Amino acid sequence: TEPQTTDPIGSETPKSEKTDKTKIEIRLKANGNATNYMKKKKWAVDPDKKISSIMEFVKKNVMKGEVEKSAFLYVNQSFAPAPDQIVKNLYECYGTDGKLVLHYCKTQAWG
Amino acid sequence: KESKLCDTFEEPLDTFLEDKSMLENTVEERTTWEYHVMYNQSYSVPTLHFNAWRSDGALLSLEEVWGRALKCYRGSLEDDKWTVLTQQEHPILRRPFYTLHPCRTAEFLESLKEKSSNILITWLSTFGPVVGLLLDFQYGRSVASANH
Repeated sequence: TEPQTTDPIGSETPKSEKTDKTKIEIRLKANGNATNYMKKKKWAVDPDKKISSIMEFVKKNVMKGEVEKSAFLYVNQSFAPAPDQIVKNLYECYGTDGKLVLHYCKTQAWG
Repeated sequence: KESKLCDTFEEPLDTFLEDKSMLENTVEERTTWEYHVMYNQSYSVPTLHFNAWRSDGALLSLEEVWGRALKCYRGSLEDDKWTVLTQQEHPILRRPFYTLHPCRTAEFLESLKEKSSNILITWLSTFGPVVGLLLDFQYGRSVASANH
């Protein structure tokens, strides 16, 4: 098993069921041109977790030295859900095969 | 107490409080935000122009707009705050609007272009939330490209 450091969005579970209390399985994948990426892609999160907390999580774990950037998350690699949106709603709308796939992109967006 | 709202700006896109008696009792501040999507010809990208007013008609300052930016973006905005969010003359209305500087937008969109069937929605869903414009999560349903 992998060592657990700060793991704010939960630990890996092999299966998840579609009930309210159970965690939702998400896959965090790097967008095409990302140079650093997380080895571990499968995560289980509370259904009411906000996208903003996952953005923070990706930022901490992928962009350790790059605090000046933001991590952007996308569903279908094309739409960024609002930061206050919860995983449960996104899973119900965009989930496939029992999981929600989110791509993260850390290209500098402004300036 | 006469409301000055009608005198200070033209056609707001949002409705605002017209019953002044409600203003005295409320402790919550109500702000009105107006957004325009413009095409920037120099950079060949869409840009977001916006303004925000308090209920007394006063424009929010740049500092106040920053204060309202969501925490999840703040880290990346802190460093070059004053070059990222600027105030510029609206190309058509000819009055000051805040705008996110577009110089990196093209590069940013490059990485997403392939997978998106509507790059405008992709762009707006990325940049809008930073300045308070949130899209319903169902907007993304029609955006994935056919090849996905």
